[in-house]
Amino acid sequence: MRKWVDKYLAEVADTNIKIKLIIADVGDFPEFSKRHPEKFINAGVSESNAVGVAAGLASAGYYVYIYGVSSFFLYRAYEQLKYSVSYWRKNVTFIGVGFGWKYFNIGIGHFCPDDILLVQGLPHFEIHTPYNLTQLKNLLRQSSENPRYIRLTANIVNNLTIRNFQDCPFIITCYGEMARTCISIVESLNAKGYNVGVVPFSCLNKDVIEQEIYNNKQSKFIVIEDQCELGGLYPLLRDINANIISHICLPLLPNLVSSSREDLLKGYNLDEESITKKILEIIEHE
Amino acid sequence: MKTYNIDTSKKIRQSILAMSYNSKVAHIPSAFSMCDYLGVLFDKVLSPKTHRFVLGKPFGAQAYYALFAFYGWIDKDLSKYGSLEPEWRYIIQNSHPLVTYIDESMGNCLSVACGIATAGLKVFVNISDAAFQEGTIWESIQYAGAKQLSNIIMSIDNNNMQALGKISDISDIGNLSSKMKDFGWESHECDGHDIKAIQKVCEQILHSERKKPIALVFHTSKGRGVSFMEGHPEWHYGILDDITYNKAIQELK
Repeated sequence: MRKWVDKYLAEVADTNIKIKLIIADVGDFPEFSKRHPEKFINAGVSESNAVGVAAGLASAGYYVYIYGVSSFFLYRAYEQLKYSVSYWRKNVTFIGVGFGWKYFNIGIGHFCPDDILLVQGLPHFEIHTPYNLTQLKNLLRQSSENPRYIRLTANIVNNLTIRNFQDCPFIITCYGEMARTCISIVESLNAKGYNVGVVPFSCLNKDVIEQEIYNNKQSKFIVIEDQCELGGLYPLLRDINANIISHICLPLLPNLVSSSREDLLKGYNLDEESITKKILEIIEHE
Repeated sequence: MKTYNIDTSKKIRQSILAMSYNSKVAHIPSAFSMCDYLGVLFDKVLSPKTHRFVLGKPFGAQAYYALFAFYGWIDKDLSKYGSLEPEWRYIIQNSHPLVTYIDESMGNCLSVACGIATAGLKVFVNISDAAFQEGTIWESIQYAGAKQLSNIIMSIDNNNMQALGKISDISDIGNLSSKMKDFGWESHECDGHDIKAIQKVCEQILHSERKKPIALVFHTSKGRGVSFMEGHPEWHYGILDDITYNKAIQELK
């Protein structure tokens, strides 16, 4: 979905002179770099330096976007994200790709099941998990007082609308890329007469989540996420005493023998078939 | 007009000792190591009005405070040093009005300076030679050289000492000046306690074509000015008592 970031940021940069887009030699931005070559920086394969450069630009009044692979930036440049960006509330937005299981097929060096957990440890950072284009567009157009982490979903849907599932006995909560899977599952189950709802979040903001849970306080929640159990949505829901009856998530240490991401998802019950089976078991048991 | 000379050098060291003694703060040899070249740079080339200050060597901050006060950039009363007031913390902080960025995690600050320079502002970075054992700084050196960030001036306190011994014994970093040139920087080096030599380097900077970032490698001696501190690593974390304070002050008279 980089093409959308390319398009939207190029539009933003048309009217805002104080914008910079930094990459660390991953991801091309043909539209942005053609229209705004002076605002585009390829820092080379140097994530730590790229984050420091972003912090320096932000301290000089720039809105800075960094695009890159989540694992490379969050693992290697965590110190810079914390000391140079997060603590000082610099206006830096990191647009991450390849989080969770996405690049698992490449190798363990691309496995990133704890990206949200890590960003949750960075004060002031907002965590955005857009699942449709409107959300992504608004995020890129709006500035924020806070540093932001945008999880760029590969299979973003055009304009997904969710019907109100208030008063459903069972609600699946999810975010980002898992939203598409979960919405598809719920539509299928609803067609078969099961009263199951879905609440996807586009932002892991505790206040928003708390309000949603309050609106569905009688429901039982099934949490589906491409994140390890230590971070992400589950601990946020647990902290506000949501009635969680199941949590399907990624392992922190995967089975290293798994050869593909499909194997990984199936092995950890995160594929559509496994999730559906699990939900049916829960409904029948309850 | 204030000028940094031999007498100033002694007075600045006396101020550093007084601040350290009163507030029971260590890192005195680090402050002595960098105060001469900083003093001359502030006299001839740099000021907070012309440059953003990025301090990658925040320990030994007594030197910054003493020099800032000497040049009239902060209150002359240094007795608040070491208090919890944001402008007087014992390690200079990001909250200090004359400082754009500090990072006590070694090697990080040059990347932030690169960002400030990319924004078109003039930036001064002070850093220790031990920071060159870190990996991050080499990313930033490459970046500044490749992007020709000629609005960066970086001074390097090359005293060959780190917390637990000599850099050349622990993990040698070699000739920094030639390495900087290899990475596309303009590099100058001199004795960091020889005021005339530092002034000469300042003249070279002022007449430089300024097409590249500038590295200033100052060969210094940690603890210079007080015999029982100079070349004694145990004073890295040493705290002055009445006897050592008076002895040090006597040496600087």
